[in-house]
Amino acid sequence: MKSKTKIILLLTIIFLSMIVLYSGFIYYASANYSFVDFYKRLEIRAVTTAKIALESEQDINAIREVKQEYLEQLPNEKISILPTPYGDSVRIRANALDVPVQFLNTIKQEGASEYRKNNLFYAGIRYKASGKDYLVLVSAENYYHTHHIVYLRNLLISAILISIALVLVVSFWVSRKSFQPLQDITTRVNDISSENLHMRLSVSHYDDELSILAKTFNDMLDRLEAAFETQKNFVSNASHELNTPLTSIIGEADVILSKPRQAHEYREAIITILEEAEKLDKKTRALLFLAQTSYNGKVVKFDKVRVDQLVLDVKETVDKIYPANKIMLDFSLLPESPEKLKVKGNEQLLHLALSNVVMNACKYSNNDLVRIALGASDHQIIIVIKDRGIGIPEDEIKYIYDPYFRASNTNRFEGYGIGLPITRNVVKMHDGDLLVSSVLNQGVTVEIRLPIGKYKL
Amino acid sequence: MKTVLIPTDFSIESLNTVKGALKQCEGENTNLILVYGVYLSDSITDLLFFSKPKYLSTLQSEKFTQACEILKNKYDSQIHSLTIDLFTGYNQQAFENFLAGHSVDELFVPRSYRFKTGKRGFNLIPYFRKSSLPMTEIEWRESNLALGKDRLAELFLVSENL
Repeated sequence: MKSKTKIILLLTIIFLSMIVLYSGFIYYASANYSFVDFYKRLEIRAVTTAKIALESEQDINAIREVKQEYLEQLPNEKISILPTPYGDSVRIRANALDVPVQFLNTIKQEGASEYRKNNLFYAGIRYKASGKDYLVLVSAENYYHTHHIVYLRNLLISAILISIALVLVVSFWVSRKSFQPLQDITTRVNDISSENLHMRLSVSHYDDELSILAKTFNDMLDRLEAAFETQKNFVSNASHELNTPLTSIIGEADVILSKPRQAHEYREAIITILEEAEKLDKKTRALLFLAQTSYNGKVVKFDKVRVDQLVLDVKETVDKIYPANKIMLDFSLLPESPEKLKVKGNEQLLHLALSNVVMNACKYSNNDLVRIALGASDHQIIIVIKDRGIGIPEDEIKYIYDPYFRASNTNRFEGYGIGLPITRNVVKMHDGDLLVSSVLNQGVTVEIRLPIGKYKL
Repeated sequence: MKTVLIPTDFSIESLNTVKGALKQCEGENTNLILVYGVYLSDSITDLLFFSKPKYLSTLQSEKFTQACEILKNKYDSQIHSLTIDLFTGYNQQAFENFLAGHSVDELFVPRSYRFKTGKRGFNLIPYFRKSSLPMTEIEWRESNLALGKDRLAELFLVSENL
């Protein structure tokens, strides 16, 4: 069942049950009241009649006048006055009057009683006058009950019927009204596909739940669009990167095969091809690493890593690749407690991330001084790598994490633009921060912050 | 135990004085007090709602706190305590009282660093110089990397020049 119908049904049931409850209460209360009221009227009649019939002449006239003037004749009104019967005659009297014996007995005992047979109402009192004891019985049909209550009942039933229609209309309207924005969102989202990711949902300026939902959708679309864009760029960049060595391999092979050559020519050509193939290999390997670090599909094993040891290892690695480097390790701010030097992480990945940064620093500063400093605050280990190289142009610094992006001043240097994205991914995996700041032609400062693993000594 | 007073302007570069001071007092257990000079507002409502811890925390950037933590970790066994305080007096006598009140033993000031005092803040160096307590000047080369920003890296990068 659709939630729309559910809401209609629910609303209808709630409204109707309330209306029925009210109507029932009103009906019951008025019926009750009309009974009580009618008995009272019968009793008044009984008393006045008894007074007129049994009292001495003195003030009877006044009462008679009152009775004639104000007490109208009730339908089917019957008044009987009888001396209080005793013993067996009670039953006989009762039979004669067509009332139960119990009724007469109650009157005798309590002085007054009421009794009802279908629509005929009886009221009786015990009356003592001039030393004698009488029972006065008045019976009449309850006109109010037969007519008014029936009228009320019909009124209530027709009101309920009308309100059913009304409630249905109202709840239909309410559910429509509340689901309209949802419907709009659904149609709108259905329209959005990979071709028109730029489309957005319209957000009302009210801060209700649905506009929050729409906003959330829009945010998600923003992210999706960005991801799509990156993916597109990545694919085109990657294919371009891979294409270059491939083209030169093919070209070289084509040229060398065009006519018979000397053996040394073949060798030269094959050396060139090998170089290009190695480049290709490096690039694909870097690509693989990037993929491994950026998708969380694979679970990476995290272990205890000592950062000072890591920095020393990285220096050793970089020494092999750039033997002329001038790396200066600055451990002057090293914390005294080794507890503060341990992070929870994957050593290979951290090594890769750090060596990327350090090698970049060496490469882009032409082996000028590179300083690596290490310190720890209460929650983070901070590694600062500073070089005096060419720097990054200010307006390009926001693109440095895009795969294959290379700053405009890096043409003289070899590279693929994969290092920093890998580093960022690794640092992110370790819940750390990577901050890069730079002044063009003065150098780059990279700050890597990693949360301290809570290892005890 | 020794108590050392050092002026600060809540910049990371100024913490180099602390580093220098700690190097000079090597091997001694030290209570460090960083002091910032400020003329407090004398409006009655400001005084009513004034809270020193709150005021101090508005002055300190997150990086400054982190830098202090780094220093504390570095000189863990040497630093007995590191507190930051305000000096709100108007004359030398008040400053002497402040020194006595904190039972300060020695003063350290930067030699050439120019304090960047904020709103209502004032330079404490003249008071330090006029004081009778032994005072040491700390010198470091200004960071040549013109980052222009108050970066945590400053703490690391100027270190070897002390």
